[in-house]
Amino acid sequence: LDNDSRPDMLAVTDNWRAVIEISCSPNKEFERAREYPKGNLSAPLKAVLGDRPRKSAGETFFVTEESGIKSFPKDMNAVNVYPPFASRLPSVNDGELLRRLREWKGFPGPVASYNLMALPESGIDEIRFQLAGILRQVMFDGATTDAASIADRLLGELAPAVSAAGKRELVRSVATLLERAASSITGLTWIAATHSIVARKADSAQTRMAFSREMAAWLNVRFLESFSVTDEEVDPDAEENE
Amino acid sequence: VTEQQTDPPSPPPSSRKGFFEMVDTRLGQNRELLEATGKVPASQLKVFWLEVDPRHHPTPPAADGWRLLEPHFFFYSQPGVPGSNQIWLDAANERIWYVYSFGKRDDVEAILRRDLLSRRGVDRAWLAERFLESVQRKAGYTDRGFRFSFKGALSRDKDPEGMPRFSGKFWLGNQVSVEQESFLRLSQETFSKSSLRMGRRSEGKSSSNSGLLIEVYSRGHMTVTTCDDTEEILGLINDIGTSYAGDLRELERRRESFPRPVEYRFGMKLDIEQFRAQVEAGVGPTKLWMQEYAEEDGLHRFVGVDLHTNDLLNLDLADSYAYLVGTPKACMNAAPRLMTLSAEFLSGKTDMYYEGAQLFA
Repeated sequence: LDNDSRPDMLAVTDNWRAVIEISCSPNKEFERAREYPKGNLSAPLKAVLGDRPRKSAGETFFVTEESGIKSFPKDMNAVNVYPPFASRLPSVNDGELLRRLREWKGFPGPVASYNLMALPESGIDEIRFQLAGILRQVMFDGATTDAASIADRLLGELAPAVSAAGKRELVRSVATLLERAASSITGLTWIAATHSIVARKADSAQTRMAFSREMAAWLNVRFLESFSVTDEEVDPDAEENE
Repeated sequence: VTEQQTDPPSPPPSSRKGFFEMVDTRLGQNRELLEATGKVPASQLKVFWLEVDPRHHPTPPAADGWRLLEPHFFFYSQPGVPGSNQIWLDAANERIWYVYSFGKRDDVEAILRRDLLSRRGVDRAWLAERFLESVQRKAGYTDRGFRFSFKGALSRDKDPEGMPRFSGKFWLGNQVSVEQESFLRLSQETFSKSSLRMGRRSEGKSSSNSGLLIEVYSRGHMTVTTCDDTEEILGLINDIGTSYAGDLRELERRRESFPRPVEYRFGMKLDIEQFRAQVEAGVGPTKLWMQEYAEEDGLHRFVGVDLHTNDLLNLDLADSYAYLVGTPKACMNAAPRLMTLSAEFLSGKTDMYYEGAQLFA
């Protein structure tokens, strides 16, 4: 924009302009986002879209498919495009846009998730639980994996689109968490020199249970074991012998 | 049912050709026994379809009773008990293995579980209710009954005696009374079916028995009660495997090009707490080992591993719907597995969609 701010997306009509930020992280630099609505179209955009006065349609619209829109600043707009669909629209100037957004009940079918579980700016507290899921994969394989590889799995199919420099903060957060996890969970060893985690293979139900219990303790969540199934298989036909 | 626990002592066939000749002979003997005595022979043909992820190159264990007869064709005989629970495994297809036996189903299944299903890359073919119905529809067979079977795998009761369970098996003749029909219709609409019985009349005018009678189970196997055309039944076995593999490959091909989720709709509300207990511990039949990482307004988001292949999966779960997304190259057998098991857990109807169209149906 002409004030050097760079929103992710820009939407314009003849009379209005709206700025959109794609995000799932409340770690966003919101001060920068506050500049977006103040900017006008840059000269090249005006050349393409027409040079005419357009009013700001509102504060920055955060569009996310992650839960947690409540964690965005209260004066900014946020729309969750993934079920359960939700929106917070405290600052919309374009009445027609506001009406349409309030009427919107979500997409008729599920939208693609791109396996996205974090953004480059996601902090330690935002990725702890996702990491616990990915570590199950590492543990089941009995593999050695470095922090950068796990950061890529957190970014899902967006990983190739983020530069190594852009991932640096996320990789650092992953490394910090891996080191902490290894100090608490049996079967995980942190290798500082290579920023890698070495996992002992969890190839039995007992090993997986033990890992899950320690992981739950590390995450400080309740670990439920009060289910009836202990077998790998429950066969509804087992009582019959044909 | 006549008692017959072991196979005849004659040496087992040692080639595919010999095996299929034996199947023809045994089916003929069974048919003659049925026609002569009216009794269903105990030694019926059982078929299991196993899904195989070729990335893992699984093979049967070299020892423990398994031996290679010819390329991709294996034979199992229980060590020390010759003639009992013989199994033939045709592993020529890279995606679906075909397992044949005339042994006791529970025994055969236990062997498969121990020697094959425990190996990485091998899973059942999960033939959910819609798939079973499509088998019957495509073959043009008549409805000869069904079974629903429910064990409360998501029960909160730790005592197995307290686990809710019920099962029912309905054998249908040619005519059903009006009173029974309304009950049957209601039960079919209410419960998910774990197997379908289907068949056709005999082409021989003198025979009062069925020309073909089979039961196909959602957990990926079939029992052939009687059949007067061996080629027909072998063709059907191949068609089911080919159709399942085709649907799976199509789902994987589409997933590879775009990360759209597989969508589930549950007819009854799922107990998410108990589901979470299973998948977070990595036990139970779902073969999923996951971590819940977010929850908002009833939508629970999980990430973790499919123990079948070690592929990373994302699962978003509400009590009446769910979305499953694999990584681009992931084996998607988790999709029909979750479909079949959720129907079993709930004993209610579950539907599965991709891009708005029903899958495996």
